[in-house]
Amino acid sequence: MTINNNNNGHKRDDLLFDIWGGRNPLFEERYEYSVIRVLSDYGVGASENTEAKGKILGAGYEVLILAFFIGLYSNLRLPLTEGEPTKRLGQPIDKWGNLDSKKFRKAYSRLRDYIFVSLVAKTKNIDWIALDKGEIEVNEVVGKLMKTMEEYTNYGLMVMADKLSEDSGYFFSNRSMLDLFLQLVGPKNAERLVDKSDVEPL
Amino acid sequence: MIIKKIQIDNFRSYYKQNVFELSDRLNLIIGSNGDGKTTLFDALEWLFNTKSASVSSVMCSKKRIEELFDDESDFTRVAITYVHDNDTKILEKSFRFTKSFDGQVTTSEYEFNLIYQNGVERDVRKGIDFDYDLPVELRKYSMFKGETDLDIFQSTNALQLLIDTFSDVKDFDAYFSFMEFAKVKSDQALNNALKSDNKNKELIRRNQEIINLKNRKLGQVESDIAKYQKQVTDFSKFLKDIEKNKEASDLLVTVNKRIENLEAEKAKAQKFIDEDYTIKLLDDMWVLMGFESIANEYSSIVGEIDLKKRQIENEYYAKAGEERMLKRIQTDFTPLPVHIPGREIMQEMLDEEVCKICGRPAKMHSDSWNFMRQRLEEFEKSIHKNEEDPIPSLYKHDYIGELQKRNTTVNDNLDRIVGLQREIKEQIKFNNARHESIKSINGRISRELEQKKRILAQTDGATEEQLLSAYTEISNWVDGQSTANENIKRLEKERESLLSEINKAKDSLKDISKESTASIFSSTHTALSMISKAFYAAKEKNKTELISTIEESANEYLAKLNVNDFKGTIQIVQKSDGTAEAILVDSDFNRIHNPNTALKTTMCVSILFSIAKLSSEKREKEYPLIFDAPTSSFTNKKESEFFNVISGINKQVIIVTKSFLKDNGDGDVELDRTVVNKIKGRIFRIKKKKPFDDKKLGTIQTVITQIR
Repeated sequence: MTINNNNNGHKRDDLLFDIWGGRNPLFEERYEYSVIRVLSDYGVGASENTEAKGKILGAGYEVLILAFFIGLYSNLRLPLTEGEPTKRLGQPIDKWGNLDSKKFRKAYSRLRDYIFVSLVAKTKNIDWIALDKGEIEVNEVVGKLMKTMEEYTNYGLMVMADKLSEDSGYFFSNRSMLDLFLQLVGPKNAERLVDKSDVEPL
Repeated sequence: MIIKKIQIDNFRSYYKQNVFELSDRLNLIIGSNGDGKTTLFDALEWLFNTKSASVSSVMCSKKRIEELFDDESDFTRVAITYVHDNDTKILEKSFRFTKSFDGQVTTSEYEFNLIYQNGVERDVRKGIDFDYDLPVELRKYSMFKGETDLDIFQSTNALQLLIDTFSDVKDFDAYFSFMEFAKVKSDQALNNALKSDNKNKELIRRNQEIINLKNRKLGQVESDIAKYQKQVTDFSKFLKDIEKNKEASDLLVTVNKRIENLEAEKAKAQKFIDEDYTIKLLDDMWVLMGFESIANEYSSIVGEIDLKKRQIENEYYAKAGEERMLKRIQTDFTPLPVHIPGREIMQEMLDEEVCKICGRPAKMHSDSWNFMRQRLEEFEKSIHKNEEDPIPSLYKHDYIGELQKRNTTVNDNLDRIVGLQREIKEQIKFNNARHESIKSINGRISRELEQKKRILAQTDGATEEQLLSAYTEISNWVDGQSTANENIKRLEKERESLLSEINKAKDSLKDISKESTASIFSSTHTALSMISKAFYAAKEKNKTELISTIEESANEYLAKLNVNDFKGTIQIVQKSDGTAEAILVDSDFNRIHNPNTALKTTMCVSILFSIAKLSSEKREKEYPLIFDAPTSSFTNKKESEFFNVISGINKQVIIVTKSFLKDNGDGDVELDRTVVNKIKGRIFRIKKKKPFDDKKLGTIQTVITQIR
């Protein structure tokens, strides 16, 4: 970490966004086979040829992204289970969405900005001012953001695993994933006002 | 003749004893392909074959053979019990088959008997006597194995056969032949008599020469005329076929074009469908559909933090500045009270022109105001004075600034996020509309395909290619036909002139002969000619009457069978080559080309009924009609009507059919009881007994069930 005085115009800090971009979230290993390999090409090969493989998504992180949003919109976090083995996928966050816009897919790297924004909005225990004062390390803050990310994702993976265990073909209809989100986000949620005093149920 | 019972023992798929107890009117034997319908026909054909004694182990029930032990035997037997002229008789054909130790089957003890059953008396005669009860020529009109056999006029000598069988003047044939013979003989006699006339020798010779020459020429002309007539008939047929085919091919071209257009429309609609919704969640960032509240939360939080940061910073600077001021003031001239107002307050006081300490107004440029201003200026100066002692910045980083910048970006894009749900729903609606549109196009395509099938069906098997290419040949045929017609006209003229020359020569000879002994031969010849002509005319007239009788009664049957439908009539058309054809004409006497199969079937069956009636009237021989009914092309309702009408006709009919079987959903067929129950008549079901293996003949057994 560089402790530099912004006002003196010395070497600039790395962006918080970029530091976060270099990370790679943990997930509970048990979801690798029950969810990630079922829905994506993870472990198979080229991720942009999804159609050829019959999977609904390409790279493994795409499952994590959707799981994250499920948790986010449900407003429910699930901490990683103690004692459960965890693992990471191969790509750090700053590679997410960097598809070559060829064939059937488009790049969506901007989605990362939105994920970052939601982590900042939802991680309540960060003393930003202390950070800017240099009283706390930036890695510590990024760590808290990652925890938020992992917990929302973990909830989303649980939801997906539940659906798949009831019906192994659940996500293969082209509407099921979309409908899942439309339901989460339905008219009720859209009108919900943001209230600072909302406490996330854990 | 009415068949009361058919018994089939060990004949092919009919294992051991199998009996059909028949009714005097309609008998319906219902079975699918392979169930034993054809075998039933084959058994009867074998039985009725009074001429040859063919026997083979291939006819025996394989299942029965497999059961036999070494040297064990059984009988293959086919028999009918029938009533004819109040006598009950049994016609049976049978033989013994024996299985030897090595599996070979040998046949023996062939018997073919006609048994009279008069009470207790049993009179066994030779099977060939059956020909008295049902002559061979009538059997031809009794049994029809295949669906196509029903059209009896398909065979070229059908008309001749009918005439031979039913014509009243067929007994005249012998006289007719004699007439021809006598004419020739008298001609010869006349010529011989003329030869010995020396006086008119030269004249006679010349006339005879002319007659011979012209006769030869006449022969050639007749044969040429026949050739061209055939050509005309052929071209007519082709053209008639093509005419309706041309119509069909015009229609076909139109239908094909419509189908092509519909397919293009469909492809276009399909191209627009984009339903990769799961991928769109990421690639089109649809997953942000619920992000609005989060974005607002972020804005609010970051705004707060940013404000707080600045506030703290300001306070910090203010405090630091204050402390400095304090320090300076304290080290300076005038000690001031501790609660000296900070810089901001002082600026406010100046702006508001009031002292906030004592509350007294301090108007601009007044002494108190100036005092305050001076203090403030000094304060500020003191701050800036110590260059080597800057106030250290409070903040080492500006992560909050990064967050605030991000806030601006998020807010700039909020519009799209807010509109996402609507955008998604619109896309779904759009895709669904494309699907609906495709569905409706598919409906229209299927209707066009139905139309196409109907067009092709009416052209009796012509393929699409044939239809489309055929119509280019029309001009060739039209030309060919008109050339042939011209030739015929020309040749007919020639024939006329030849005939008149021949007759002139003959008349000359007659005149010459009047004066000689040849005259008697001449008058004999004339008389014979006239008689021969009379016979010929009678034969022609009778043929015409016969045909007309058949037509009339066939049309009566047709009217019954086609109760609500067809309003035309059957005509039996004689052709120049001696063959005949049964056709249908509408009420304007226009020929109906290629009637649909149902109509054709009804027409053929009507003719058969008519011939049977003829047989019973002219020859006093009744016989049952046994045929395979091609009613698969009838609608269900029509089928039931058809059979019910037949059951009302006072005639024994045995019909073998595939009708009234429906899929039962298990890959098998079963009798459609609801429909069958409405048919008046005796109903049998034949089917292969389960389990069976089509590849192992030994497992095949036909089972007969009398349903009613």
